[in-house]
Amino acid sequence: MTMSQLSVMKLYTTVVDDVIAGVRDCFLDDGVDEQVLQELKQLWKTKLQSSGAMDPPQPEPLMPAPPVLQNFQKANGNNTMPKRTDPHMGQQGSSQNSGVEHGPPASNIAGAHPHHVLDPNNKVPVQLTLPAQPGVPGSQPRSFTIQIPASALNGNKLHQVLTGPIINATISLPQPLAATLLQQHINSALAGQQNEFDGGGGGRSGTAPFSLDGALDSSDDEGSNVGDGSDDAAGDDDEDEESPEERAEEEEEERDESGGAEEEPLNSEDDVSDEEPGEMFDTDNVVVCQYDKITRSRNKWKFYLKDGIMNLGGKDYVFQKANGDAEW
Amino acid sequence: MSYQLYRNTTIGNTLQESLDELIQYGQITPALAVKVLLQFDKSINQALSNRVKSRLTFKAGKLNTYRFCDNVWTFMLNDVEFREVQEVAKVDKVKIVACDGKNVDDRR
Repeated sequence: MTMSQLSVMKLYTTVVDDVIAGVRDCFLDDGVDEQVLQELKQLWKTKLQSSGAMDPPQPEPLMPAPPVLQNFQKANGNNTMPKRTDPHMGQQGSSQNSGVEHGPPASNIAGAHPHHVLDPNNKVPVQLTLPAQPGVPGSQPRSFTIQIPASALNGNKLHQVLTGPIINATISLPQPLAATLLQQHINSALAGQQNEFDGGGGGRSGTAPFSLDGALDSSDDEGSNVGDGSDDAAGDDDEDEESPEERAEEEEEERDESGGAEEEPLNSEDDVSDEEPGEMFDTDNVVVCQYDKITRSRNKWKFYLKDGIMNLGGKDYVFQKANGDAEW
Repeated sequence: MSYQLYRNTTIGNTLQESLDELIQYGQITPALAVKVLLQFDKSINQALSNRVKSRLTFKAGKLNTYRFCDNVWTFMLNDVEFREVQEVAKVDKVKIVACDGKNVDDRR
């Protein structure tokens, strides 16, 4: 469906421009600089492009990153939460399942990013800057350096790890604490991803539950995992900051208490009430649309759909009308 | 009032991620982000109904699950073949989420 791919790109460009033009007054009213509006546009377009959803299928590796970025998207959506928190992760059977699910991206990544196969535990210093606290007079932006595994520099990993909740949790902390907390968060989150990309952790059952708790789970056992996990899984990545521990652990627990609400990306859940995650309804191929008519006669269903956006195998398609049938 | 369900698409998700970043760095308020999303709802609904012309058909091997709740249909289909003239895309599993298409015209 090459044609629709082109029209998808055109459509998205139109929508981006339309939205940006449509909110210009709102930005002005809020006293927000035009430059921020342009930044929003740029961010949005960049993310759209790197999603790979609009890439034409034929010319291949224009975009080495898509597997990672698609993972990122999925990680942000509600749909994959059950996968990531699969409580049966330790069992051989479901580990294999997850290996299958994550298999293709893993191999793609390995191919596309040669340095991924270098020692992933090699630490690289990265400087981060926390913004000044909004509403706190005299608050200054703070910079500090954290160590992350070299592998995390690939694609967008660091980006996926440093999400809103963790930033919010650290923004009000004194600098050393914030640095420790961020470091710990990154270590545990990356340990999780490493595992995932490795195909679910296989037999290292000690690692899997720990890592799956990492970036996304809001469950309150995270704090304790940090503690008692230090002798096994955490040892891989955490060795160098085993010391500033206690306080950071408290912080981590505090963060957990403030809990679930914080972990939600903006509007991810409250606006689409029909999108509850559930294993039944969990798939990568999604069509979002409107129905003109749905009919059923015995077990034969007919669908008359319109105004749809489809994501099939990571590519986006749009349609004005789509009619189909199926048997139940 | 336009449907918000398109927020859960590539273009909607990337917008929300961008807004999240701007909020995190204190460049915009959450309230302003909400306004942007509302504008997005309007723009995407309009763009889809006015600018998209492609028509396609699909045939599913099996309707695995269906659900109708709050006027929203959700289907899980297996072995689906989408066809647009000559071009074909096959997937072994697809989820369809569909809001009532009539409501929208009334609301506009």
